[in-house]
Amino acid sequence: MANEPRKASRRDFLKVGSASLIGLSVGTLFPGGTWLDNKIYAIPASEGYLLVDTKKCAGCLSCMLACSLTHEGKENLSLSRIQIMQDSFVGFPNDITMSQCRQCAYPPCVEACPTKALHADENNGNIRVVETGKCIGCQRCIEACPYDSNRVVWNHESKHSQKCDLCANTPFWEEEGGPDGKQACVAVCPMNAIKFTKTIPTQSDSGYNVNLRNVHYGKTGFPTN
Amino acid sequence: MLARLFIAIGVFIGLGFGAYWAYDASRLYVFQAGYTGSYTYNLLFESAVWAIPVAILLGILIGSFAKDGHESYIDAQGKVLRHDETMFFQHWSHALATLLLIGTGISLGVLMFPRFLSNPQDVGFAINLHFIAASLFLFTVFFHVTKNILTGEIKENMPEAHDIPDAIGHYKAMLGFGKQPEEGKYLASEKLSYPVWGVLVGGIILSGLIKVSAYIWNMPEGLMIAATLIHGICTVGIVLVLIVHVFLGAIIPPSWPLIRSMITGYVTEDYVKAHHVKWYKEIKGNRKPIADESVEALPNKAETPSV
Repeated sequence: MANEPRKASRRDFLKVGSASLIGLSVGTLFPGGTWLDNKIYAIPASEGYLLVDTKKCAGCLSCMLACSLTHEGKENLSLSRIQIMQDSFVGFPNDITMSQCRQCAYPPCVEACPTKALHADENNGNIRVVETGKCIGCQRCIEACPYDSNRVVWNHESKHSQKCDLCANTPFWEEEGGPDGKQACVAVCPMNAIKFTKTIPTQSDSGYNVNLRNVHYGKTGFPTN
Repeated sequence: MLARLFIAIGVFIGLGFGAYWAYDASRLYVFQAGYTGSYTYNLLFESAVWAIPVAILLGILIGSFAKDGHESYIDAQGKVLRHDETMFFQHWSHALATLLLIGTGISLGVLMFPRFLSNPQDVGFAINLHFIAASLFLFTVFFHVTKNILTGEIKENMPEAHDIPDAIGHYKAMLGFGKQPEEGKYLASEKLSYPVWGVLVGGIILSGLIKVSAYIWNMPEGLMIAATLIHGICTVGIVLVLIVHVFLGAIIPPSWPLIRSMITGYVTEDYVKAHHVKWYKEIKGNRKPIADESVEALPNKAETPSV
């Protein structure tokens, strides 16, 4: 009996196997034992940006309705990715705020996403987009956006984050969007208060809120400078 | 009973610590002194994702230490042990985890149900609490499966062909029609529900693990959509089956001895004789010998078993 080789049972296999794997899993917590990638990488700059002129905006909300319509197939201000806010108690020119996504050079929303659902889309000029199927709805990107109001918004119907993709993915619009195509808000604005550019704006409020008025606008009596 | 009390306190303390961890991680310590300021909360599914495989492996490890099923017997007080301490821990910790998962899952929005939370801190707390409950859930499920396969108890849980007419007969008899069929330790309806639970729990674990994988690897969008859909369908399925389970296992009066035994561990010999005839035939010869000290403590009861 003493010379008989000891046979490992299923129990022994499970005990040793699971204990070893637990050790390995816990071992990854300690410095030097991590399997995480320590590479430093840069997020490439977007190839398209939206510029606005709040002094020109009439607050008609057409851009918001167009944004919702082209992306979601319905006109719903709550589903728009661009937000126009009006304060009735403040006079011109500070009565209107236009909140368009700035396609930040260092996007905190991309960094905050735990599943890489929000990423720079290489196929569409590195626009920062949400791959909605991969969004787990943690809303960290919304909180991470440093601007007020947040440029990443919550889609309460399909329960995922969404943001301006420069109309790269507009299933309810026949036009080609993206950095080489058209943008619904630009196309629909009756005041031409939104403009698309491929040049990286100065990373400040004044870099994105620019003077889009021309001499014809001046004929209406409003300032052009 | 003391062991069960300690188990219950242990589970609640463990969950309490887990809930505090989930709450603390979901706060935005932007203005707290000593912190550089962060606009994102700590998502435990991301920062502590190692706990998911650890919970599974711990369940397998502890489950593999389980002893082979012991024989049931009738004790000196005419009581029969139906749910031992292991079952008590397994059932109630699994139940708590399931309730927490359902509560947090539905509050975050499932399928056509809207999200009931809007503040990112509340969303973070719900997701982190979902993580704590998922870890406990995985531990209990893998513990149960490992234990039942190794001890062979899974054969007692799985239904056989005769369980379908037996289950129908059982409920007909409950309504006053016909004679109650002879049942074993587990009722025919209990055994029939076991594979249903298996499919739903298996589906929710598999789809959940795919969803968790997205925190580690770059998962394909189509797979994530499918996993989210299956996770939602299984959630609704589990909620429906759980309602039936609670109604038949705890609400209706005939089930009261069983819910009592799920807490105290024991059913009476009379109950077994009346409702589990097959089981009674197996155990009626197994009477626990009366130890000297128990005779001194319970002289009357030992002499007159409540048969």
